[in-house]
Amino acid sequence: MKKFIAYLVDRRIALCCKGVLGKTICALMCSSALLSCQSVDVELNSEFPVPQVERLPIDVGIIFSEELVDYTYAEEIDGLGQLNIKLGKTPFDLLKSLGAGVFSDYQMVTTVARDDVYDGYLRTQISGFQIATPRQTRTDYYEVWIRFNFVFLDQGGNAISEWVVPSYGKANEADYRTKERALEAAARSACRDAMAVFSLRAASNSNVLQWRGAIKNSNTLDESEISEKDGA
Amino acid sequence: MCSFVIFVLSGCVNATLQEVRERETGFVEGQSVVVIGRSNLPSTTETELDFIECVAADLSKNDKGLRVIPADEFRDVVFPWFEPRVEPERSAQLAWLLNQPRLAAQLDSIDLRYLVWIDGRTIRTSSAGSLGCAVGPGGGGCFGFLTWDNDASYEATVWDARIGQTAGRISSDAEGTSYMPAFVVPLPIVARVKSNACKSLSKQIANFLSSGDA
Repeated sequence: MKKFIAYLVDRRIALCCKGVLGKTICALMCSSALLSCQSVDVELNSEFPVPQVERLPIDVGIIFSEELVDYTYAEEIDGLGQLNIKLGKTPFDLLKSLGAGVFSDYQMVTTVARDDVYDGYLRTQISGFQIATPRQTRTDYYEVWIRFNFVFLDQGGNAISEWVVPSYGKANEADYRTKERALEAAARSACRDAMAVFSLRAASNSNVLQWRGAIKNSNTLDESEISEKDGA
Repeated sequence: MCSFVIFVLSGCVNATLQEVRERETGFVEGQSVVVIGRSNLPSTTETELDFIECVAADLSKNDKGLRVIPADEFRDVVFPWFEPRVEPERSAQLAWLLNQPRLAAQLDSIDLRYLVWIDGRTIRTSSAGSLGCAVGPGGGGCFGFLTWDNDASYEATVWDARIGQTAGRISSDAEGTSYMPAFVVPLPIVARVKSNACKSLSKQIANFLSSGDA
């Protein structure tokens, strides 16, 4: 068997050195080698619309962390190669649009302020990212799932509640010229899905209600302290 | 000459159109319409984006002053009310949506009069024959014969955004057989089923919207 394999290797090398057929085989081998180590790099560049919903009467500081800026999803996928999806500025734009549409006032901040500038804070994390390719699911669709964790903090930066929002987006590969564009469209769709869920359900979501309750109590306490001081 | 070649190389397409009118339609110049696909359906029944874009593009060529808003732009303007997870499935839900103050203001800002939902898709119903190609150092070629049938079945449901009710439905069915004989060089004779369905459906939608009183 070893002799046979050695013969084949010798024969292939010999073919590569001679004639049109040899060059063709060489070209095919090089192409397949290149294809097998290809990588797919997707960088999301998206602007998101402002949700047209009734705003919550909360002045919020939206904490934007370095972790979100650098978020990159990487996976080695059979038939696709190394896949890298870099979210880049996308989470910043997403949160900015959410802030503008869902809250009465907002500011993008990096940390909790010392003074009581805001009623509360919103910190966002991505705790899950998953993709499926048409080859894996035997459909025509690239699919993306993203799990967002929205953590609601009080004025002092203490966590009050957490809302986990799983989102989903898909894109038909036939509608896009390249797999990069299809994946970008699916990821963008998943981000919009998360925004839709957050903006439409925030007013009735129990975690948001708990946060609003804590903000209300804190404001009531502040008011009573002020009136006590005024009385003294 | 080119159009003659295209005509000769095109397969035959049979198209049928049906229209059901529930209400009078019409519009004032400057009012807008959006052609949009269902995005909350299972993947296998979702309408192709290029078909929706084709209908919107053909409809925008109308000479009656009806403005066609691209579906993506519309979804941004009314975000998040027409996202896949929450988009309305029945016209009765539109009436409820019109009561949302910020959404209603957005719809007013674009002067939306009609929403046209497109359902359906083009599928290959059958195929037969075989074709083989070979390449060698001295050249290559293909030999054989292929034939396939495509069926494009679409329905457009028109909602009157002013009153939040269905104005009517238009359906377009087109079917055609394509051939590909190959003797060294393959010669595709393709029946342009989807394109035919798009043209006939958009023409019928334009007629449907413009007939009647505003």
